[in-house]
Amino acid sequence: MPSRRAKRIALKALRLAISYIVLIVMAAWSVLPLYYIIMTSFSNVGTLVSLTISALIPKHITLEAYRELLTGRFIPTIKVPNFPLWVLHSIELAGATALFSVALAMLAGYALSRLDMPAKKSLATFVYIITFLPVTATTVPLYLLFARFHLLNYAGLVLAYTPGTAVFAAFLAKLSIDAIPPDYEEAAMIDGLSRFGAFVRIVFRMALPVVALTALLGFLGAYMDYATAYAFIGSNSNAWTAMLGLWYLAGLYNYASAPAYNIFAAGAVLMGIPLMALFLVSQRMMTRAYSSLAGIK
Amino acid sequence: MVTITVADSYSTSENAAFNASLAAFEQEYPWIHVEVQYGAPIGTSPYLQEAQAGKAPIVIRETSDSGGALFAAGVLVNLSQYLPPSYFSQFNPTAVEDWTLNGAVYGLPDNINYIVMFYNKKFITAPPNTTDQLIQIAEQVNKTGVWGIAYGIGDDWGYRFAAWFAGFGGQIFTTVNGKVYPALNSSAMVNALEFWYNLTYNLRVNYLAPSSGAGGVEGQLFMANKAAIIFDGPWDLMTYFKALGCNLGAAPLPVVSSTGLYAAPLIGSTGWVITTPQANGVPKSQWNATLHAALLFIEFMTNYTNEINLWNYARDIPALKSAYNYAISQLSQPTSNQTVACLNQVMKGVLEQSLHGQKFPNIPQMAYYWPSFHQYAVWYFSYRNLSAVQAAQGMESYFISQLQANGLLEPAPIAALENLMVAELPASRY
Amino acid sequence: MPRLSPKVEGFLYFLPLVVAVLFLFLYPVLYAVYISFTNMNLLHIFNYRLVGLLQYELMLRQGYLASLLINEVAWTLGSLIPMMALGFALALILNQRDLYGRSLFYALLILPWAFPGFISLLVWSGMWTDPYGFMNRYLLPFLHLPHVDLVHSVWGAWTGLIVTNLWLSFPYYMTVFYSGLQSIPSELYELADVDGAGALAKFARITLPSLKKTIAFVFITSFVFTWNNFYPIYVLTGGGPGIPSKPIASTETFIVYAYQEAFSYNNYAFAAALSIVSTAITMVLAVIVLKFTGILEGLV
Repeated sequence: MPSRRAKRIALKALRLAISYIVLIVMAAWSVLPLYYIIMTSFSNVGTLVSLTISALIPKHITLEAYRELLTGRFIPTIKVPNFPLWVLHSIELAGATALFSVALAMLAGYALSRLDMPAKKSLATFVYIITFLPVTATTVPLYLLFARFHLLNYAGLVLAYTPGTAVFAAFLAKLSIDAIPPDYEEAAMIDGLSRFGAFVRIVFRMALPVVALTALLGFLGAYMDYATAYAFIGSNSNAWTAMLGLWYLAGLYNYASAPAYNIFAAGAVLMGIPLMALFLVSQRMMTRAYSSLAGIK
Repeated sequence: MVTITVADSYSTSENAAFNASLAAFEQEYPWIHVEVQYGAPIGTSPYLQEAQAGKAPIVIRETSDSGGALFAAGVLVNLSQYLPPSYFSQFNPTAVEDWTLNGAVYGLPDNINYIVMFYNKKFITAPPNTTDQLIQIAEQVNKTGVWGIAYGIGDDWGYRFAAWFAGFGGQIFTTVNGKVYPALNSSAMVNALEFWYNLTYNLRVNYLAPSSGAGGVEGQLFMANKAAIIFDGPWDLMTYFKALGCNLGAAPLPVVSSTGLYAAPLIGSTGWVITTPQANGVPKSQWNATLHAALLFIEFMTNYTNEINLWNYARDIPALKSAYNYAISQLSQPTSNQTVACLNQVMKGVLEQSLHGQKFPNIPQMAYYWPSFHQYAVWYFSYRNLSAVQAAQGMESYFISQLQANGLLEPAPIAALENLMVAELPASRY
Repeated sequence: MPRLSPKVEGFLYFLPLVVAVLFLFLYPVLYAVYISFTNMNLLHIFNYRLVGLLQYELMLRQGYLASLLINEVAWTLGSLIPMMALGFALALILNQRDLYGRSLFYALLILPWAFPGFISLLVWSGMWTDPYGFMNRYLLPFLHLPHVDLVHSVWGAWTGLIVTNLWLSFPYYMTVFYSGLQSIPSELYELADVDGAGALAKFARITLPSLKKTIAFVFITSFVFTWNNFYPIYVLTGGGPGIPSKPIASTETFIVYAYQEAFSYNNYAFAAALSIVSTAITMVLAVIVLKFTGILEGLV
């Protein structure tokens, strides 16, 4: 009967209409502050644009902040433009952290999934719960510990960043590896491959979504960190990461000087855009990686 | 060859001056190798942490109050042991007081900073000398639809308000039986609070802005010609000058008419300190040579040439008397450049304030002044659910309870303060 | 290479993670416990001594404990529930098969999570300024909503915090739940359609049960993360606008207070005591929930 069909169509239209409205509103809300950051980076005034009266459409667009950021030489001992060098450092550090996180998480996840281990449940619970200690309590002892072991450098930073991601990723990895039938490894080991070889050649490849997600999260954590990096290598401006450099250039650490928010915004844009691109590219991976969570029965 | 590590907390513009001075120093003392840490922080905790690990830098450019906390913690060298009192007399006396704790000087000042009264010459021809004049002028300006004053006391943590507190005759600390006690609960505080309450809610000449500084609402209003007077520091000077040009004026805070005292802002000072071997990890055998090099360094950085460098490159107000006089004379030079002439006028007004300020307390207790003042200021000015008397009492009792909780005050019995609610702690614990 | 016994082999694979965690977390826990029994603060930075339970006594006597804890729970649950609800709702919307432009919307909605958080916080702090910030000047009046004043009003502070935290984190929950929804086999829904089940029945009988464990696991991990997440509060309100003498009268949570005690007042021993208490509470809560929902069985 037409009225019933019409009713179905009307409901569907309503459902879709509401969906689109919600999505559009939410998308606009998501993008709003980022729009501000971009606008601030194009302004020549050091204050946050949101305070000016006619904020939405900027009157003058200038690349002053970007130019100063990309060509500036602020530290006499560095002979090349400073900020790009610092970004390079960030990428190195974040890359190393990603690798290390993946290694630790996959090894641990494999152990949890495939291998027998003494006191498995208690150890896993312990490892998980011990990460509950807040950063207010970990900062000082970590600094003192790393100072004593001469680890106040990139190696120490990688070590400091890794467990945060690795513990969570280990559980995800475990679930993901659970879904891979062990037959492939068994076959390979019968053919003479060591367990470790089977682990690397087969499991890694099949659990790629989780590997990618762990690498991404590890990279992200190291790339965007300011506090720990400052505590460890803040005293050596030659080795600064981009975040440290950005803080310095924007005058944010010194409350007596007026901060240059436009430079800060420019740096944020330069650092944020590749990050967002990375996120978008790895959308699919993330979806697949997280779907293993739903596999908890 | 001696190496010293230097924590440089200068901004990028000040570093232009610093780098020049550094080059001159290295030329004069080739046997001293200087390792500079750029972007060093200002504050107590970062250096405390490093000191615990024995990795603090040897020389730090700090503020006098953070330096005071570090000195009290045993992290800094007592310069009075190595430099005669006549050496210190070369500097602005308030600046030296800033760097003195229990009679010992622990740092050499390079510049001083404080707030001044900025005004818009478009609305105000002559700045007020007294608070009665201030009210008069503000009322006149208000009639034209522009705020007379924009002073967001509800957002003030006590840094700016300390000036008015002093103007009404108050002081933040008092010493009783050799012990330091807060003294916020006084009629001076009540009068100062009520004065500004009156201007804000009865006379309606003051706008209680939610944020201060050039980046805050106060500055924004001032630059948009919507407020005629604000209280801010010379660190925002160039931003205001860019906006208002020759309409910008600066003058010292006025005299409080009822007391005849100047509203005396806190004169803070930044300068150079040297850390102890326990903090910086320099072995005993090398300490004498290192200390000698460090002393040479900080003496060099605060000498005439370099203070003038800082003035020229970054307009930092010199703490050295001779450099200060040079700055004044420079500002009085006739010039055909209109912009420079206007800027000089403003700077002169700024410099004049340095003659009417008060010492910035540098004792560790000062850390608790800010939150104590702030929350009661918020309740009194923004929520308006307290009387001024209650606010003053509240500030004081909170201040005392915080000091006691942190081991900075024994529960000494003083009759006048008995009726305050404070936690009792056994003295033997401390 | 000789085959190691499975138990030893398993342990060896798990070892690197355990070692890293011992370094990074066990040592600080032990250190914090030790320090909480001393009087380490500004004036006793080099020569501190053991003082027994003094710091814990002070904590109790100060009388802020209850307020701090209530604030902390309010912050955690007040953030988490809207975040998870919004994330779930968006995931449901995105999961509709006849939706166009899914990738585009997903890409835009994920941006708050992808962008460095503290930079976003600074911008939000500017946007909430009353009355010239964007929110109070344009958006809220446009929606006929009252002003939100983070600095001078208690409910304004809480609103601003929750809304900002919501913005920062909802994409994470959206992603997790969307993945979960995607992995529910469509045959289940088709079967239900054949049986004539309505949308609501399908949701209650298929969707929710399949996602139950996901929701629980995400809830626990996020609970602890949000509990320890002092950064938004620190940047936006600094713990204001009052003092934690009464619950909700300020936004001073346990962790923010601990941070201030450690780094503004250099009262390390007191901050350590606070951190230990907070960690103990979260550990107990986590163990209870883990056992109650049986997640652990499924995980290991």
